[in-house]
Amino acid sequence: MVPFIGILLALLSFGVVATMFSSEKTSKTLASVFSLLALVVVVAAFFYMAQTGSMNYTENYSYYIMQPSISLGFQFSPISFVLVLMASIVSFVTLLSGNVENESRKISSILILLFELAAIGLFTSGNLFLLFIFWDVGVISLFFMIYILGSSNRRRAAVKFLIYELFASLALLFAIMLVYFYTPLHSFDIQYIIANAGLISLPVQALIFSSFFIAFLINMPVFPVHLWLPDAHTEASTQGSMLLSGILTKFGGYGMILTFFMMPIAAHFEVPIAILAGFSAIYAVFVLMTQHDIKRIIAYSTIVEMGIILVAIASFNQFGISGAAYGMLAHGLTIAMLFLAAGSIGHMFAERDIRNLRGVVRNALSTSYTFLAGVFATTGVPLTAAFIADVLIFIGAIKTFSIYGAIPLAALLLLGAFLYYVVNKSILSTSEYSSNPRFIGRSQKAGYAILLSSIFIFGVLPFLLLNFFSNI
Amino acid sequence: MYDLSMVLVYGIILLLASGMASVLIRKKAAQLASSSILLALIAVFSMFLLLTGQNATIAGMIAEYPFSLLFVFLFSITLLLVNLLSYKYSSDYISFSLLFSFAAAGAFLVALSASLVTIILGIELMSLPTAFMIMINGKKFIEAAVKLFILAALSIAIFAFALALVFPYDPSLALTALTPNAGIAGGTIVLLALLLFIAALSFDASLFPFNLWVPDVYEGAPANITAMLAGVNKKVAFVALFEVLFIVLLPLSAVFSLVFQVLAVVTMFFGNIVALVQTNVKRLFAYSAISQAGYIAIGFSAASLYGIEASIYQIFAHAFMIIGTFAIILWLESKNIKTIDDYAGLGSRNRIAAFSLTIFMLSMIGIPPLMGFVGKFLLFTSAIDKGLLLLAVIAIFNSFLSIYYYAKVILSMYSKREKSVIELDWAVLSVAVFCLIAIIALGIYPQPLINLSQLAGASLSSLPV
Amino acid sequence: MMFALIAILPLIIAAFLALLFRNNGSLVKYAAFAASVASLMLIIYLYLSISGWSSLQGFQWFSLGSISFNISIATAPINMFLLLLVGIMTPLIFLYSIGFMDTQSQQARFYFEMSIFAAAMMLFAISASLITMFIAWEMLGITSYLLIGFWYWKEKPPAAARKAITTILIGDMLMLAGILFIGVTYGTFEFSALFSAAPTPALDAALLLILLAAFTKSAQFPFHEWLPDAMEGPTPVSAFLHSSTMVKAGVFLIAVLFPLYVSAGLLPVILIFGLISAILGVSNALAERHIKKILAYSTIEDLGLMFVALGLGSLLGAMLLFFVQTFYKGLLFMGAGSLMRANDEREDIFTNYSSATNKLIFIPIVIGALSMAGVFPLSGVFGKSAIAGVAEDTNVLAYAVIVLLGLGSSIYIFRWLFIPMSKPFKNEKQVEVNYRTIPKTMIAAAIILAILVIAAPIFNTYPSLLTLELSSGSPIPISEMAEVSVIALVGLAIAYRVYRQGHQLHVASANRPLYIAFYNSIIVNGFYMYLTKAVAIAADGLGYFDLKLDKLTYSASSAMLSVGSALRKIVNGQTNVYVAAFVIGIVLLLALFIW
Repeated sequence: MVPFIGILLALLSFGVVATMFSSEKTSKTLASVFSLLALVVVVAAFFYMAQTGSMNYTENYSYYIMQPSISLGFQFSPISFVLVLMASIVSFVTLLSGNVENESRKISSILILLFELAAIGLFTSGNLFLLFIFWDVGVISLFFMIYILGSSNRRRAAVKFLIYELFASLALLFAIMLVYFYTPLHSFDIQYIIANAGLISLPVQALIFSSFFIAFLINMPVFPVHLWLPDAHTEASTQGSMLLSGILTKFGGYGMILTFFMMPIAAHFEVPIAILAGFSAIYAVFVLMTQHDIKRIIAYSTIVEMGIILVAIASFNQFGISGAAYGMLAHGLTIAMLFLAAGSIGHMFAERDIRNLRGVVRNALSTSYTFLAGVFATTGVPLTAAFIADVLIFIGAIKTFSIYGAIPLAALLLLGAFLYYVVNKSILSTSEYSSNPRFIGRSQKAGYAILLSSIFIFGVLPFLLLNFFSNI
Repeated sequence: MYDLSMVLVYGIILLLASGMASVLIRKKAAQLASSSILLALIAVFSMFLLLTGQNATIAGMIAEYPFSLLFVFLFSITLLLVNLLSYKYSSDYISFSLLFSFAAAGAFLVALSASLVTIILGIELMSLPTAFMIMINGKKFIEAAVKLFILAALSIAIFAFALALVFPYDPSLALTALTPNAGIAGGTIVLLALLLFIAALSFDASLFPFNLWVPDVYEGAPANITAMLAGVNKKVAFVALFEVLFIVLLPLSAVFSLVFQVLAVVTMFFGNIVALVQTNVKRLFAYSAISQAGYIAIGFSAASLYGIEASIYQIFAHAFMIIGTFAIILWLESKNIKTIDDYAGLGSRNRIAAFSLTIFMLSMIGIPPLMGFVGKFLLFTSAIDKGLLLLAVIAIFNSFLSIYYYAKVILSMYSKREKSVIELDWAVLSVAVFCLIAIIALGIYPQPLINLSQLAGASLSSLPV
Repeated sequence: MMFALIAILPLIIAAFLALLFRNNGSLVKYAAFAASVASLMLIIYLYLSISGWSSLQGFQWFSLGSISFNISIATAPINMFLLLLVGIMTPLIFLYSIGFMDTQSQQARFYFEMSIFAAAMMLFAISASLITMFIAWEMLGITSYLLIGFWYWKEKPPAAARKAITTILIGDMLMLAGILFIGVTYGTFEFSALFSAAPTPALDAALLLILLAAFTKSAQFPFHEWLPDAMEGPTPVSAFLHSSTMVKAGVFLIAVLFPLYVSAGLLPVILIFGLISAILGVSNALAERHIKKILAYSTIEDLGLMFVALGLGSLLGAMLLFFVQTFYKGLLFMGAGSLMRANDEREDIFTNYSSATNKLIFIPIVIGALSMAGVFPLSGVFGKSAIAGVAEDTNVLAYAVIVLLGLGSSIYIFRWLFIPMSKPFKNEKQVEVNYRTIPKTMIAAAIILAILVIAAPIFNTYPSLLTLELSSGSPIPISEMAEVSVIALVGLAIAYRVYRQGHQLHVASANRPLYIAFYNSIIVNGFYMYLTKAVAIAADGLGYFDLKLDKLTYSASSAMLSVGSALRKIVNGQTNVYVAAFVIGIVLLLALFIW
């Protein structure tokens, strides 16, 4: 038995420290190497688990705190593995190619590695306490990512991000403390809670559930607590946006799935939650249409997609949950690619307003077509990962909510229509725009290639991962 | 085996002696060396006694048992840090030393006390020299010193009054449990005594509404003394509260639990809400310290062993956080950097200082895996454990409020790039780095300190007589 | 394993070659052409080698729970029918493109997108499950979008592409919903399983959604207006995607699922929408001036007629028109491409000069026009008369409309032919020279198509060759064919009288309400615009609300700050206040216990 998670976390921790002591020049390369190694370990873990045929796998280390008893327990489940895979790919690409602006390489490399550590730790946490710790580490590292590397108006966005996210984290803290004291054995262990949370009295369960729910709702984010996201994305650097939408919002999605598994009472709230989520998706797509900043548009698309994913989670059947997990994989990769492209456009033309951008493709061929491919992948064109996700999500939704489950497709439709509008207005259009553009480097193109091929690999060969979802 | 119980007492006496000697010798460096070495020895020895499990009582006044030894350990370390800072920044280190040795002795006495008399003696010995320590720095500090002096005198008077009220029930005034059911009127009087004890000690522990002096004095005093007020004096008051409440007045635990619920809530709200609108960093941290006292009070509300353990852990955490913070504030004040706006660009002017200050503040917010988080986590869970859900929710909401003002400072520090680098001096650097390491290390691996807190908390009920 | 998929392979290889050698246009175009020929050869081999029409092959793509997602293909007659049609058209279009694109940059992108399209169309033809079909369906939509917007640096193509993709997206989402209803209800996506499944309301709903999706793809009312705009794409694209193959995917899909539509009772819906679309197509074609848009409206009419046939229950009629329309519409577009090339890319038929001087170009166009109008014995007549015959037997009203439409379509196609001819060549030597320099490949492709248009009736004489099961319907009566021919000739006569003889009658100048009644695409486009505006207004409203919501959270925080400012006043620096607070605190604590 190879302790993959232990190796991953140790590798990344070591990477963070090593990068801290590296020079400004070598830091990015060093961090990329560590991130690549982590990706290699994740892939190795995949092949190992493919051999054994199961993705349910735990690792336990010595106790962290005895009283209340908190162990260092880690686990892979199909859902968490999918997210770990996504997080390691996106983090690696972010490190490798995200620094379009080429600023503060060292500090950004440290923060990205730290965030990757937090993300992988969170997705593999075997107990809620560790999950909470990794959550906060992730949030804080992204806060600095936004604040130190962001644009000139970043202050307000960073504060907003921090306040929303830490409010979420405190709600989460409250929930896990309640869970601890109301389960018979006083435990944070997720598997134990899943097995025993039914013993908690209904009112307390409702309190715990709503506390979890608020925390994850903010993070996903879903209307009406989505307001931190557009600002944070607009002001963050390219790398910050990639991580925010690509990985951070998945904390909430993953947590929401866990909540549904842990709290039997969730079954009572499936319909209202689905209505809220569906409304959020449609609401966000309308608000998206009033935006002009290309990064802000993509940011709102995250709210749309996460709303749809929440519908899938609320349907709470095998298809919905698998679809949500696969959807988060697809969305993470796609949105990272879109932000990388949008960041490159912003950097090249010093302009992100779609009213002013024209004929981007003339000067930025690969970026433009990557963006276009990202739009395809967002709308769920077959052979991209999002197609598989959409099929599963809506099968799940229709199974639980009958015909009404298909309503969120309207959000996807409007989103697609507007994104194509953006493409045809600003990117594949007449070129009047001719300030001397700056050019992007080879690393950005490598990033496009990695993300694009991942999107296609998971779109064409979905059975690689979905085989493991047969018994969740 | 030799009886080592007196060694600590000798150490304290030597500390006093060295303080007095310094007035005659007037060698700053020598005094620093001698007092530091003595404090370090006291720290090492108290930990040694604690780990080897040696308990003793001396003359019915002083008791060495895990609880007292743990706090002697804490105070010796925090005092050592304050001493280091003061050597560099006190305008009259020799006079400081003399007063400092008395204050230190007072703090140790409170921790080691086996009797209520020792407690009042210790508090007096600590509070009054502290006021003078502020005063000796110059004219502009007199106002703060006078405020502290007046209110300290008031609190000591009230403490003495409370002492008088319990005297009829236990003329020995030893730290043993009272039996308040000696007649109906007697019950009321003990209740009154309880409230007066709490009020008196809340003064130094800075619980609302007995803490209104705190912002003025913290801001008005030189930062090294502020560090001492927040990092030592406040903690001493909590130690006294532990001893009075959990030993002497333990039968009334239901009552003081309720009192502390109220105090905790109002203190947290007062500290956090007023901190929101502060612009002076030092004053901001005064309010922050008030709110932290509110969190510590949650452990008293829980009134359980788990609550005590949580409070002790948080006292350690806050001592390191606040001393580290005030060390940096002290250094910046000497560069005339005072308001939040002045802090702009600190992130590029001195990375280590900005990073440490950031970590201290994140820890105060309660961000894992830092010490402040573990402390808050233990405190909140202790409240939930006792079914005090609403208190936990309020405490969590307060943590949320606090994000805003800490973030303001952090944002300011990293807001722009400044070319002009400013260098840390060795004293501040060593204090900050020490606190930083402690906060990160004990946050990532809190179990040793939790074990010690548990040991100390459990020993409160089994005081050697 | 699956030979039919192998037939697609050359085109996919060609697409990748185009990606790899994107700077070498000449290599790419010949590679694509060679691939399309290879593909055709494979299809013919497959066609000849299939014994007994084994109908279903497939493999599991992935599965979850009880549902298995399969890639299934079928080589049933109807599948082979479309596969062969696409297989024949692809090399011809590529041949035409070799000439057409010779002055264009970015050839590699063109052949990449065209090859992908052709592959997707072939996959669509042989797909035997909803999942497989949907993959191909979406690929068709995307390649169509990319090819319409191929000349993105011009002014109109981006907007046209956007309009197309928006309509296509609507169809995709409806289709996806329909497919998933079926998947959830029956746990399978296979066509074969659906035919034997018990009908449920979910199936009816799904069939309706799929029908609407088919309307978007096949440009039927009310989704038809994207097709004329799609003419902004290069002419080979119009000839290939937007007349002869892709737009007919919707018709084909309904034809494949025809038994289900019959049992669900949705035929009247199909009939009504087909009729409306055909009428709109004809009326707009009569009023339009854009050389390619006239043909686009004509395509809408053709597609409408196919739906009419389906709506009348005549699969044979629909498939016959499907078959013959491929050739004559492709031919007409090729002709239009040559015409525009000679006339400096002018699009208005009133300003263009005819190709009458170059017989090699002109004669195929005339053949195409005659065939389209329905003159015996050219192929067009078979499709039209089959449909008219069925209508005559079943639905008189529909029959009357079809007759009128036949007249109208004859008039507009000869209008299209005659107006450019009505101007004498004066001082326009350049156009004549241009006609002489039209690339040989363009001419060759058109001639081959013209031959196919003439030869197509052979297939009708030997129905077993292509249509096996389809031919089970009654044969087309000669009288019906004569009737269609006569109507066509009447139309020709009217058009000749009006347009050829210099009566440059243009309805617009004569009578505006009448003009709008004919050119009603203005109304439909206006309706689209209002729809877009409604969405924009809703968006503005919600966007405003979003800003307000943001403000609200800020006011909550500023309220907290003002509480802070108020509380701060307690700490006013006065020691006596502090002492008072001390005392008040004690009193309050006492009060807490006294009651």
